[in-house]
Amino acid sequence: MDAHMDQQTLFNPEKSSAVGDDGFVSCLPSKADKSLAAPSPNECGKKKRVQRAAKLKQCKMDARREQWLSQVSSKVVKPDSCASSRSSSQDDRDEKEMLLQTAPGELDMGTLVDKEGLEDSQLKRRPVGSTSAHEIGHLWSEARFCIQGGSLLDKHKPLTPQQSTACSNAGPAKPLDHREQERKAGQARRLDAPGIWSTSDTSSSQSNSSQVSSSSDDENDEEDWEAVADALHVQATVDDVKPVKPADQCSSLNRPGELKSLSSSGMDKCILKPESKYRSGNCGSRTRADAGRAWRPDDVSRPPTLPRLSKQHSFPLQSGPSLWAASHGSVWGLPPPPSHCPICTEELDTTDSSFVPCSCGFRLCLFCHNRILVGDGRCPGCRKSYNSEAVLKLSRTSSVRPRV
Amino acid sequence: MPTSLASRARLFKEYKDVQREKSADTDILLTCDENNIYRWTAHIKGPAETPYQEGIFQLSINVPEQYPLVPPQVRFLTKVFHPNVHFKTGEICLDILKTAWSPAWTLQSVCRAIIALMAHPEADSPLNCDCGNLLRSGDLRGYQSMARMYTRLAASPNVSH
Repeated sequence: MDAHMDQQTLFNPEKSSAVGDDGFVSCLPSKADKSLAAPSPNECGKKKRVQRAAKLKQCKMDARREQWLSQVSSKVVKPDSCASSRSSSQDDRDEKEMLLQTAPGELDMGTLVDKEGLEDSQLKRRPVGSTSAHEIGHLWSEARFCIQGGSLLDKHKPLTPQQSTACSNAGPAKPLDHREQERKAGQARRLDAPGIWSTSDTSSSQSNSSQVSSSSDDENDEEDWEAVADALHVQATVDDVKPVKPADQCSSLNRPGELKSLSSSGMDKCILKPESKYRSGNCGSRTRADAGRAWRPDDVSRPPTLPRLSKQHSFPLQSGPSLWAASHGSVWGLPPPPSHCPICTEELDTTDSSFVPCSCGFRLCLFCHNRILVGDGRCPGCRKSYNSEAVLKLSRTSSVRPRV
Repeated sequence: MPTSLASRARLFKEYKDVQREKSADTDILLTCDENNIYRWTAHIKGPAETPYQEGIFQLSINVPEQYPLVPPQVRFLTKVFHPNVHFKTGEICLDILKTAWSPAWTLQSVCRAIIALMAHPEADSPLNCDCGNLLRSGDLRGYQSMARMYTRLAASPNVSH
């Protein structure tokens, strides 16, 4: 397990950077995927690969199903309500997987996955009844590793970033795992955007796996990372000998209220907590204000989700106005100039309109700008002092300076 | 253009804006002295869920001729128990009225900032030391009851009129 962990953590940085290049790698056929296609594109080999990929998918889906089944059977808290909602969520996730299988990016995955790795992961599968949830969790992570490791061994050469992209593409299990956990926490709103497995997802799954490894001696359900975090939390309060390594653990210890409630409640209660959370999420009440949670919305250690979504949807001007304005000037990054100076309310003439003295984009007339320069010399918009860049801009509009 | 003219033009524009958006912001009532555009009075509503709730506080605003390059002088005319308001003079300790002033601010936005200050007292730079000490010692209840009492006594419309 430890060796696996090392490998995974080695992969993860590459993966995150590679996926970060385009947010929708997994759903859309990208250039990188096409360039990654097999070196000898004969039809027969391709078909085989497609079949192999499909097989692998099937194997994964089966493993996932086993997981769910075992979760439902191991947690007997209100089985009827949980099972029904879970099966529905499972259904739509299966649909998503099917969709993903049809995506062209997935076909390339077959070229990278080694036969041995595939067989390994298939061999590792066991009947549901004989394995506990804990064991399945182990198996799952091992299988996951086999897929990645296999792709490495197959090529007999160092992993390039593109290949690692394909690797991460090849394993939709990982982000989906993560999603499942989020769904459990009743945060369905985050799942509305499909196929956004961004850097944060990989990083959070990384942190997830690290937590899992550190608590693998417990009998916790490994997939439920919030439960694991809760358990870790209690463990840390109970025995001080245990080294407290992860940052989120430290920060969660800083909240006295939560600590109190956790230490007063038993271990069992703590493990059951996500389950009850899940139920409350089903009821539609998504308040996360209770104590005893692993993460709160404002918690710094909480893994951020979908940060790329906001970045993609927001205009660059809003995300970083200063940089954008500085590099692009008044070509099109800035809002249309106001008709009047916001300081003296005088009408802005054409010279004034083209005058952008500060990188924040705050416009004013030359007259007011001059008056401010004589005074404290700070931009009214951002309170940063006008400096060399303002002078540079002034020289461009020097033709009207005598008038001022 | 002389500075007095600039400030006058600016204040006149603000006056027009205030008249136009009177109904938009019911928490702030800005009125200008009929004879002197540099003298304003504001009535602000105490923010909800604070001890100042349901109080109406009167502010006097003195606008200097260099406005908007220098901040207006604002003080409470109504007694208010707040760590950043001098209990006797009504002086307000607010950074945007001093060092952090920006010419882009308006009288309206200054009033909004003062309402925000009422909702978020800053006990570390107190002008009202008693109030600040209450908050710093963690006696939130004591602070709230005092502030509420003074709101009832001084800022309630029924009592003052």
